[in-house]
Amino acid sequence: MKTFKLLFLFCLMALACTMTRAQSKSKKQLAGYTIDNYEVECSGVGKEGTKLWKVWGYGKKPDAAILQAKRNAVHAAIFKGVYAGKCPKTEPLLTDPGLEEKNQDYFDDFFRDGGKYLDFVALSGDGMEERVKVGKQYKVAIVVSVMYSQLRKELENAGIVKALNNGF
Amino acid sequence: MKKILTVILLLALSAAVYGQAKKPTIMVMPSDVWCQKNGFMTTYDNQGTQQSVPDYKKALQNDPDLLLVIGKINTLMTDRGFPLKNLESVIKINENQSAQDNVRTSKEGSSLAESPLDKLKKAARADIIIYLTYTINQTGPKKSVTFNLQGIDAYTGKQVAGAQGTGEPSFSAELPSLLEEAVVAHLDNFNVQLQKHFDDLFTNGREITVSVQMWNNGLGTDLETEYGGKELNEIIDAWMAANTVKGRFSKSESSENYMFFEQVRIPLYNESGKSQDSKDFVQLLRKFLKDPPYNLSCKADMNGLGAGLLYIGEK
Repeated sequence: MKTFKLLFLFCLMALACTMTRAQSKSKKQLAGYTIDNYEVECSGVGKEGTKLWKVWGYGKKPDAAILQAKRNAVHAAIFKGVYAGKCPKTEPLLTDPGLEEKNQDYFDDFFRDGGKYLDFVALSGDGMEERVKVGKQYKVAIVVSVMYSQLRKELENAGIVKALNNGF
Repeated sequence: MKKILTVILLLALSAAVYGQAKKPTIMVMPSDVWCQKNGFMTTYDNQGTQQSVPDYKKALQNDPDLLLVIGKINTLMTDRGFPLKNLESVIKINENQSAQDNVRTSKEGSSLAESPLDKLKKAARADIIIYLTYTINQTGPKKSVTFNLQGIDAYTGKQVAGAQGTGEPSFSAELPSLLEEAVVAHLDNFNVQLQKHFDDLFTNGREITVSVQMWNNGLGTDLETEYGGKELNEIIDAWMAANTVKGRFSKSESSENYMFFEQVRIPLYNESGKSQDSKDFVQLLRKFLKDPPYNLSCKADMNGLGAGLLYIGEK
């Protein structure tokens, strides 16, 4: 009986551990900065202070994939940069990789569902450019306008990115 | 008690003011290639040799596209909190200043003292000059713009930032739209490099050049004169090693009358927390050489933020 109790306790702890890890992984995935296997390319030079990008997202439903694509676009502006497409490369706003982890709480909140990231991205055109079913998921491409200058100002105000005139 | 508090407040305020590094001035200028290609050059006789130099005033007065591009760059840089010097305004201010100086007299009738060197120093200049070149490519009805921005540190001559590329060809877009698009497309990348340059500046110090020269005054002192068994050039070398950031500098020329140091990394702030430029740095060397056992009278000067000049022998 004692062995059974111990075994039960062990199983419970293992389950709790797995759940916590899964939760934190999912949280991190939500935060965006652990996902870097998305595609993004430049569609054209946007208006002053904006970037026009074609970006892909995955989701169980097309709407969820569109939302993921928007998140990916803002993620690319901050962490990844854009090096493909019709216009000159765009370097990421954060060039120091250590800054991601240093500001984890900020980015967790920034990229949460309905988070602030939505203020810096807007659909451009009619919506979906491409829609492909990959297994049980939809892969969707949309063209978005990323408010790059506003995003940089947001990160400057949060003390994450240095302003060009910082220190002078 | 109130007096003590006031003094502390004033000290804190002055520390805060001094704690800011001197902001480099930046100015956009059309490159020599652009001026040559568009016929905005002027020639003058330089001691028997005909020399061509860009005529910036003529270019600005005759090419509205150039004005548009410069204006656009200035606007975008102002948005980034880094307003630029405007070439057209600088030329006008210099002309206006010269005209006023020519007629200005004191109550006793004296005119302003101005050496030929002072006249030279009044030329339009900035610490970082962004040289702008653009060419219009035409293939049949399609037009595109090749755009080149080069940010040159005016005194080390190094390119500290740059952005180049050719835009997408267009059948219908007007040239000003293509130029505007090129500025918007390239300026962010240019600023990323500029930011890296500023980061390097704060980490490794400001890069300057230092030249040391001897006055030809017949006193018999030169850079090979010995003090305690060491030649003056060795003493200056050792001083440079002790006073530069991480001992970084390279000596590219040395003779009995002349020494030239490049890639001299000076701290942005001196010991009292005040930001320093090339002249402040060379002043430290001047004070060092003024003291015993050297007892040398020297003149310190500068050429913009980036070039320190020391003349040994007299003021």
